[in-house]
This record gives sequence, C-alpha cells and structure tokens, in this order.
Amino acid sequence: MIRKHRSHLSGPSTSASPAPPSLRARMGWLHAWVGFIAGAVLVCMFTTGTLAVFDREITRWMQPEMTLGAAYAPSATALDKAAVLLTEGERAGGRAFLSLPSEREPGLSVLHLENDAFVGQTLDPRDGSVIPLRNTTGGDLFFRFHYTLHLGHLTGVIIAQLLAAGFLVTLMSGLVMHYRAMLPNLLTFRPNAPRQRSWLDAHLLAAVMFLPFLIMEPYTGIMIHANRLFPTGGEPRGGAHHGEGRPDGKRAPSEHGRGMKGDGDRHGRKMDASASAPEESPAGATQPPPLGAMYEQAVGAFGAGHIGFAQPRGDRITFVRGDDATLRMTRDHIDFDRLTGRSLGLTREATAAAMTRQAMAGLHMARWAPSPVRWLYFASGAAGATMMSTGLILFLMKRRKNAGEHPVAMALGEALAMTAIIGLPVGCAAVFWANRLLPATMAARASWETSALFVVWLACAAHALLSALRRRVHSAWREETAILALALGLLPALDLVTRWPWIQTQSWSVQSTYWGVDATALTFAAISGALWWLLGRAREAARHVRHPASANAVGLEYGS
Amino acid sequence: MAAQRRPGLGRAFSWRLLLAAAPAYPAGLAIVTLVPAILATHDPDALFVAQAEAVAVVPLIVLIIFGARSLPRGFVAAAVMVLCALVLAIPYLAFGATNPAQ
Repeated sequence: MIRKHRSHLSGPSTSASPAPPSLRARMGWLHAWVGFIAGAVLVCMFTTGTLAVFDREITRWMQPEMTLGAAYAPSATALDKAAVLLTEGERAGGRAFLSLPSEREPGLSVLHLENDAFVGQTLDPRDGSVIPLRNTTGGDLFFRFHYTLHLGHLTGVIIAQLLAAGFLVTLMSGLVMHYRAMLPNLLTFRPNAPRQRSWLDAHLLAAVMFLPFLIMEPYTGIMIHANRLFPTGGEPRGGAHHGEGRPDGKRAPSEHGRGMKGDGDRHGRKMDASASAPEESPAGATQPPPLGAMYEQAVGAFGAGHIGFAQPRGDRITFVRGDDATLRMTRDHIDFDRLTGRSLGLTREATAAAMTRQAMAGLHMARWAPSPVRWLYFASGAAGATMMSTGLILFLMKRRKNAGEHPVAMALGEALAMTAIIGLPVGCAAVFWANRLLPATMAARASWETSALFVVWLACAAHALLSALRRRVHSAWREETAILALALGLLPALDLVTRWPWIQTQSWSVQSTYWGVDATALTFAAISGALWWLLGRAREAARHVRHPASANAVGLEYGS
Repeated sequence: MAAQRRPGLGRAFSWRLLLAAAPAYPAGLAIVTLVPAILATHDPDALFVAQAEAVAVVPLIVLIIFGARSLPRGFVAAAVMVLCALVLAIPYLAFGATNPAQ
C-alpha cells in the first residue's frame, strides 16, 4: 500500500508521476482530518472547560440555600465544631478534610470523597452552625468532564491528553497553512460572504485572536497530568502536584498527602487514597487540639483568606495554602503535631523547575485570577469552542457535495458534529434545570443531576443521527438550537421561581452570582436564537433559488 | 483542496499519518528517560523538564514527519529534533539541579 502511493510521498518524482503534493496540501489534509477527529471531542472539552472557569459560582447557583456573602474568618467555635466532624469522618473510615472559607466559597466545609465527588457538611464560619445545603454535582461535573471525559481518572485523562496533543498538531498545521495571512485573518470577517467564506473567516478570526491561549491551554493541560502520559517511575513530587481534586483551588488533600509520601502519581491514586486505609487507624483517630491556634499560625504563614484546606494525616494536621493565593499553584503547607498542636514547620518548594510547573498549572486553571481575568478566560474558552465548531462545520461543508458517495459516513459525521456543538450545551443546560427541579432532599440527587447531562445529550445524539440518516440535517440543527435557546432563555425565570424562598435573605453580593449565571445563560440563549433565525433565513433563501447547490452554498443542507 | 482532487491521495496521507504518529510517543519516552540520565539526577525537577520537552516533541514529530517532502527526510528531521531536545535540557543545569544522592 505504501509502495503504491510512493510517488505522492517521496522525493524526486519521475517524469511520469505527478508532482508531490505541496506543503500546504499536506498540512491541509493533516489539519482537516486530525482536526475533525480530535475536534469533535475537543469541542466538548472546551465547552465544559469554559464552564469550569466559573465552577464555584455554578455550584453556588445550584445551592440557593447558601446565604453567606463574604468570607468570614472562621471563629474558634466554628473550628472546634468542624474538628469534631472531622474526627467523626476519620473514624468512619474516610479521608475527611476541612475546606476553609475563601472569597469565592465562604462556607467552612467538612468533606470527604465519595463516588468521585466531595460530600459533607458546610458550616457557618462565624458560629459553626450547619447550613442545610442541597447535595449537588455543581460545577465539579463540568470540571471533571473537562479532563476525564467521564471515563475515569486514568483512561479518561490519557484520552484527553492524546486529544490535546492532536489539537496541538491541528493548531500548528493550521499555522503553517495560514502564517502569511495572520494579520488579514485578524481583521477580516465577512458574515455575508458567499459559500464557506464567512465560516472560514469566523474560524480564522477566533483562532488568530486567541492563539496564545489556544497554544497555552492544551500544552499546560497535558503537563498537569504528564505523569499519566509519561510515567516517571514513582519519583516524589514533593507536594507540587497541581491539585486536580477540586476546582475550587483549595482541595486536593488526598493527592496532597500521597504526593508528600512520594508516590508521584497524582490524580488516579487520589481515588485509591480515599479508599485505602489512612496512615492511622480511623477508629483510633484522636480529637485534635483546638484548631484555632493552628489556623492563626497558618494565616501568619500564608495570609488571611489564602488557606485552602486542613487535613489530619496520621500524627499530624496539615494546613495547605490555597490555590487562589498566587498565580503559581503551590502545595506549600504547614504541619502541626496532632496531639500537642506544636508547629512542625513549613514546607515550600521553590526550585526553578518546581515554580515553572506550578506556574503552568496556575495558568491553566486560573484559580488565582480575579473576576475580570476569569471572564477573559471564559471568553477565550468560548472562542476556542467556536473555532473548533466552525472547523467541524467547514470540514463537513467541503464534503457535502460528494455526500452521496458515502451517505452513512457523512450522516455519522454530521451527527457527531451536531452532538458535540449543540447537544452538549443542551445537556449542560439540563443539569441546571435538574438541579432546580429535583427535590432538594432527594437521595443521590447529585447522581441524578449528572445523569440528566448524559440522558439529554444521548437524546440529542439520537435525534441528530436519525435526522442525518433521513437527510434533514438542516432541520435538526434548527430544532436543537431552538431547544438550546429555550432551555437557556427560560433558566433565569426558573432561577427566580425556585430561589424565591431564599431571595429575601440573600445580600446583593450573594445575588450577583445568580444574576451573573442568569445573564450568561440569556446571552447564549440569544446567540442560539440568532443561529436558529439565520438557519431559517438560509433555508428560505435556498428554497427561493430552487437550486440544490444553493443549499450547499450556505453550507447547511445536503441531499434535499 | 489538492488532496481532494487527486484520487488515492487521501489513503496515502492516512498511511503517512500512521507512520508519522508511530514514532512520536516512543520519542517522548526516550526523552523522558534520557534527559534525567544526562542531567545525572533523578530529581523530580529533572523529570519535569524531561516531561515538558516530551510533551512538546510529540506533536512536533507528527508535524515534521508528515510535513516533510519525503518520509526518510521526515524521520531524519524528527531524529535531529529529539537530539536537539536532549541538548536543550543541558541549560537546566544552570538552574541548579541537584542529585538527592549527593
């Protein structure tokens, strides 16, 4: 097979054979096919990653019972109550830890890992009273999906890494193709241009404008889990892991503990750590001395509001610096003797390579970022998803003319693109709806919320595939965008209706989180509605011309 | 676009992609193994440097082999790039890599 096509691929050609394809042609093929295969899943990773930028805000939206607006320093009383819960959690066999208040998450939470989710109780840091919050999957779902694809912390992460490497290949091949026109691409968008030109303009504009972000994110994303792709034989990481355990920038205690013990594997073993026996028999876990004094010392070391979590580990209690303290995601920590409360010292990793590693993780996850920078990340992530979505559409548009040659493959491609671009956002919207419509006291409601995403997404996939097989792709796009527009457009109303019992007790700063989520939903509903309208207009135009090619000209239909 | 006009080229490119992707991961593994050896240390920092290079090298190898005018040229260029990656690790010594055994 290789010999058969050698004339196209290898060096000096004979006079009878055609000239080898140009570099641009080679890069074009690589860009198109690797981009389509990887891009279909990468759209999903970018969509959920974009949502994960505001994961804690989403979690707060999904827990309307939370009325705390500011991050109060935890009182000695609250810390004592938390210590009791912490010890009970240890005795129950789990790796319980204490999440300390921060600006974005003002509660004092005693949590443990259960079925890949952190569950537990949240206390008011002022007096230690329990805040009755509903159990929810929150923003964690989008965060976890972003890098595991819901396929587990080993398989899923490795697949995500390979896809990210594919994204880098696609991006670099695109750069080779378009490097001469970078500046014009940055300035050109012709929405009324004929054929595929406007889609290509949008594709190039999104790619060029956000190019640094689009290079940085996949590279640092792979680096965060580099031990998955390139195992290094269990070398100690010295607590310099990147804290994948929680999106809140504070919680990754099991990884933290394991990392310091030197197993070098950061995320997968976190799950093992929660399941395995702790360093000390849980049943014999002793009540720690008052945490207040330890907390004050930790504040002295890391600053107020910059302590991530505290966790008992055998004969010591560790206070770990929060990820939101600086750009670098460190795992600086201060240890205390569990029996006496005496400080055992501060551990800080500050070699050049370690700081580079920490900076990479910090740049990727943006836990350090203030709100405006976080919005910039959000916009960049949305642009990345737009770039890949337009790339998928361009790939299909170029092949619709010959759709009759491979109708099933074409239908599969159409369904895949539609499911990734529109189906997943519909599924994400379903999580928000499920959160507010399921009873607050329902058992395993977090699992039901997660299921809502996949059930709705699967329904969208089935709808897309059936429509594509029946050659009514255009209609299917319109239907799914209409559903998305409705699901997002009605979300603020749902929020108001179901949050009404608590709305009087929520301060303006608390409510701003809800307004932010609602306004974002309305914005994307408007975009979806505009897309629905444009699709309808294009269809009318195609009907008016009464020429099959005209449907392809707008790139929305084939075979009709 | 040229790829679509010439029949059979898509299949040839598919083979070429497989041939380009095949050495990418082994090259990354080689870097992860060799860089700490060159630096004569098993410090986790050296492993990080090796991983940082390997992660960058994997997509570049696919791109270089696939983009080369001929496959032999592509393989030679990829091998040179791996060597360059090994050499590039040496300045890391300036950061003060230490051997815990010392």
